[in-house]
Amino acid sequence: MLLPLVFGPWVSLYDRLTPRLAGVPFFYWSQLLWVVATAVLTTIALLLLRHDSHRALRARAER
Amino acid sequence: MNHVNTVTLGVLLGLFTAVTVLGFLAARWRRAADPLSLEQWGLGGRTFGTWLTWFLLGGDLYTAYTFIAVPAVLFGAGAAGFFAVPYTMMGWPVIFVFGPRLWSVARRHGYVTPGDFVRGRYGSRTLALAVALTGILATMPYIALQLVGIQAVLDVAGIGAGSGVMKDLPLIVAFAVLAVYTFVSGLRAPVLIAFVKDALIYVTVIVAVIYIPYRLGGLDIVFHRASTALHEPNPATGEPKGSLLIGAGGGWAYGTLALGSALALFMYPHAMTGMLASRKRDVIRRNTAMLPLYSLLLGLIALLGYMALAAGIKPKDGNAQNAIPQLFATMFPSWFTGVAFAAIAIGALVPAAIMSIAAANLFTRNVYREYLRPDATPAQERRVSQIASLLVKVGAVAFVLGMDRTFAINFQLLGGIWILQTFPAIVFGLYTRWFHRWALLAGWAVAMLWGTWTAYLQPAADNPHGHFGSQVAPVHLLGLRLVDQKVYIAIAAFAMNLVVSTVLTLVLRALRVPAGQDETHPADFYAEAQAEETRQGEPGEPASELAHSG
Repeated sequence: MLLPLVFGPWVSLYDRLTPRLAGVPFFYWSQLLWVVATAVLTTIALLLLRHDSHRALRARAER
Repeated sequence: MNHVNTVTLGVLLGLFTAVTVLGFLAARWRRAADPLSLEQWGLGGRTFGTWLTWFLLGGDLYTAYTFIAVPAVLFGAGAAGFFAVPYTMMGWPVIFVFGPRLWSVARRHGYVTPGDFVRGRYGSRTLALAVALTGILATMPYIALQLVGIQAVLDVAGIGAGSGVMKDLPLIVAFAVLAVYTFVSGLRAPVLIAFVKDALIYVTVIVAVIYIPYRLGGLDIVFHRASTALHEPNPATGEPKGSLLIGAGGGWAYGTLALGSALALFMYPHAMTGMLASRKRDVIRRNTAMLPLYSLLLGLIALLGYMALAAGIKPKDGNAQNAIPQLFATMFPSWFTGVAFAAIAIGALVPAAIMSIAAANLFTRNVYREYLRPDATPAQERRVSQIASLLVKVGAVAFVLGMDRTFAINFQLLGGIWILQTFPAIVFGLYTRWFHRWALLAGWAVAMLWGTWTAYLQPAADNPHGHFGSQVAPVHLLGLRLVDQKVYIAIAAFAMNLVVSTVLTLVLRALRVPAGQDETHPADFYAEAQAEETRQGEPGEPASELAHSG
């Protein structure tokens, strides 16, 4: 979850033109890709949390 | 210039009428047992599930003004405008972490506004008032800017371009209609309309980013031509207008703008309204995983600015805000231009409605009930909120029509700086009661004053004696050059806020100044909706001891 927050402000990392993707400079397509990555990472975190809370509930039920 | 395309106008008006009918029907949708309370009017009864919340938050935060202004910045100045993408991207992880806690505690205690939470957590109605007034002040210009978005569309569509009353009439009519159905239907109206708005926006943008580069000869040509256009010197300064990249010296500004705006995003009252209206705790988290889709959309919209450059659009009246509507009018067949214009105009109504509701809730809860009428019934609260939402809209119209448009834009930049200063009281308050209420108030006050003053000192780009020219500035304090790189003023003020709050908390604690009653309980921050009924009977919960830990 922290990854996007580190990457976002670290501008010099992606302030460049190449490599281009379908004519789009790196600066633009890499940030759009990060948006997608953020969504994926968030979903993983969500599933992990849910998995944890289910396990906790089961453990309580078995006790 | 004032030719009116009847097909475009017809489609625009047709869609607008359809949405108006929907707005009034919303009052009957999911009607509850207690339709007279503020919870029903101002939060839709807290019943919205994942999808509705998604439309509500998306419709709320990605506003028409964003759709006009973000590409306008790329059009005028290049890469710097793209900060909106990392900004909205970073906003969601922040919400993922603290959103559910706020939702739970608000659900348990019936909080409707961020001010309510601060009031309950710190037992300080002064701090709550500070949070509420900041929220209202920051929201007002935001609503006004939605009108600027509608104006741009009407301008290019050829209506509202005359002079005198006729010029402003369409805008006033649009807002009057909006005011009436918000009054009647409350938060339900914008949620229903958000469906239509988002469908229109998605269609428009997807068609635009495929069709326009195709007409222009491909994306590489778009970027190439945009780059050439940006390198032309600005007639006022002789410097190039911009670049496809940020370049050395701009990185800090870009990064802090994105970060500061991301942290501020959910301090806005309308964002909180959207969160608190959801049915379940889990809905918020699920939404943070789905909402980045809008950021993707925003990124594509931003690139429309370059397409306008590549297409050689000369914005009407030299106003970059007109670039995107003009791009649509040039590229699309008339009927689809109508659809695109309707998307922008309706896209302005949804957030304007939610923002006015949020501002009205703040006034009702943290000013009216707190200071004017402590014994107000839920029905009275709703009535006051309805009237306040009307006044807020009238104020916004007066603001846009009566004053210079740049004034609204400057004010909105200040709004971003201001609203971030409520972050410590709200978000830290979700985790700890360590900070002292008076220290938070002092930190807020210092940051508000310093931020406003620093923003005021920034000369405008085309006028060295102007003010509010920039959101970013080097940090100089009392003659010390703390940071020479330009950073977002909100972030610098926020750092100051933290220092003052921390130091004063230490002092006030040492002096044993009363910290105020805390009415929340640690378990409240994890509460689920259904737990409400069972809570009373649960044995072994140390509610009584912990409730007074402040």
